[in-house]
Amino acid sequence: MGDFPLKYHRLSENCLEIQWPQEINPAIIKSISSLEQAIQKELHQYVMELLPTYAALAIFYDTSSIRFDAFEEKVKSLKPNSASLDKNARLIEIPVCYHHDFGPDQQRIADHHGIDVDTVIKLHHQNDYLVYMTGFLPGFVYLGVLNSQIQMPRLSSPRTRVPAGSVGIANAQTGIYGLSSPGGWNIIGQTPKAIVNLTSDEPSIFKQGDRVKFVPISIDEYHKMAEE
Amino acid sequence: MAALEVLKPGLMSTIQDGGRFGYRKFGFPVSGYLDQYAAVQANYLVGNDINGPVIEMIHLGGTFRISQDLIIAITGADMQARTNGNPCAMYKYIKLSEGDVLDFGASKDGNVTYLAIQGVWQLKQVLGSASTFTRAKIGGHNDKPLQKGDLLTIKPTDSRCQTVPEHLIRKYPPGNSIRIIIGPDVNDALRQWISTTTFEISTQFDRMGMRINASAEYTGDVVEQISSPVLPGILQMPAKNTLIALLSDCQTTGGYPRIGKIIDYDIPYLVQQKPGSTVRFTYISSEEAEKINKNGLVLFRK
Repeated sequence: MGDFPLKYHRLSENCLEIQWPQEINPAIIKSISSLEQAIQKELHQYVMELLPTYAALAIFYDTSSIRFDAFEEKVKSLKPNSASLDKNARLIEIPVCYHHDFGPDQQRIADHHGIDVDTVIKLHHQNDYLVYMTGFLPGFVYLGVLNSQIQMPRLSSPRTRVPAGSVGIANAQTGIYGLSSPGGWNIIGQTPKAIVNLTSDEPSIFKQGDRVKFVPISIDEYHKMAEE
Repeated sequence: MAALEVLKPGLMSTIQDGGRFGYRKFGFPVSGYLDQYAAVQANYLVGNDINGPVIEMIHLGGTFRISQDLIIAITGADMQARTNGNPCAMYKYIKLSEGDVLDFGASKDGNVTYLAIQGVWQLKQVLGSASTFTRAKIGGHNDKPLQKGDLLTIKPTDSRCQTVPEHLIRKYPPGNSIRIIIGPDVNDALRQWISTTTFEISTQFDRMGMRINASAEYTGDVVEQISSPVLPGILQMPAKNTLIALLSDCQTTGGYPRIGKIIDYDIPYLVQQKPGSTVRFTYISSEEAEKINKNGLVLFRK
């Protein structure tokens, strides 16, 4: 947990929430992941479910097996080890088709920054990103940090339907819609890869702390992969 | 062989069970019953697993043709249920015969009504639950709310039916105080405001949440958060005159200040409040909350 000051709250009858400083910071993600791993290893007998976010970790525990105060003490006494995290870190490649049919907001982003669409696309896939969080909606994955030259506020009026696999931009973040849903992110591409699998015990392919690399593909490759 | 056919689905009728746990970190809400107390009682009455599937109807119920002899129970808000046109009792197990028609009207004294049917429901489990989650189109019957013409298959069992003593049947008169435990994003001024303000239930209510309007605006500071964990029962404050009570289908994370968590026992009370009802909120300790929840569910502990 390193140098971060942590706050402990009871979020509900069966949930302990730990808060890190309220900032978007890769070091905090690492700290959260280390603690999550330590909890899974040392306290799994008490834990029902873990929910990590940008700067917090919610721990749903079994109220019939331990009292809240005792559980909080056990969590506080853990000694997380971030060294083991780096060994497990994954780099996931996500094919993205940036054809303009799949990127209705490409031109607006380009105009907003006075650059051309090709530059927007290049800046989007030239670096890899950190998975800050999955959630909000099923399978939605929040990635960052985006190059400042292609950052863009959310749409003022969200679309009623954004297709599954859409790759979007909101401020300093980029993300992928796991399932079709309403949404206000600026859409610049589409992946043919299914990122949500409803029949798996791990229904999203991403975990907090993973790294993601977007690999541009042509529209022909897109259709070929989408069929598979 | 179907057990019943949906002749009219009603306004928003879905199959729900005890919930879809373990997948919040992937963005899946827990879903499940809005009024857990009433739903569990319905299953208890017909001798089913108390966390098993039921039909949940909101505001306006459906009409069903019964296609095999079966035992049902109706709980929650009074939707003036009738069998073949005759009034049908609530909070009792009832035997229906092949060919009977069971119909529901508009809810009189609440929002949500449950129909339990004895037996093992033949439903596809999605991530360990049969609960319908409409936004992601998963669960329930064909991954959707009930539709006209749907046929539900239920394998009969001969489990023993039960009765619920009168004093354990909950009523939902408006005006009660709803008990909450303190949220992480509350300061003293906000705490004071919440405890002393009268709130009114708005018309904005669905399985995700209920919007509640304050009679007086809060004038102090609020703590904004980066998207943080949320769960059913959390009270968020999106504006200085508005609260949102998050319910079963709520998102897993949110950025609005979390000012409290409605205790489990009081969530059904809120869910059953109609637009225009006034409510107040009272902070209690989490130890008191545990005690109230435990006493409230005494019927169902084996």
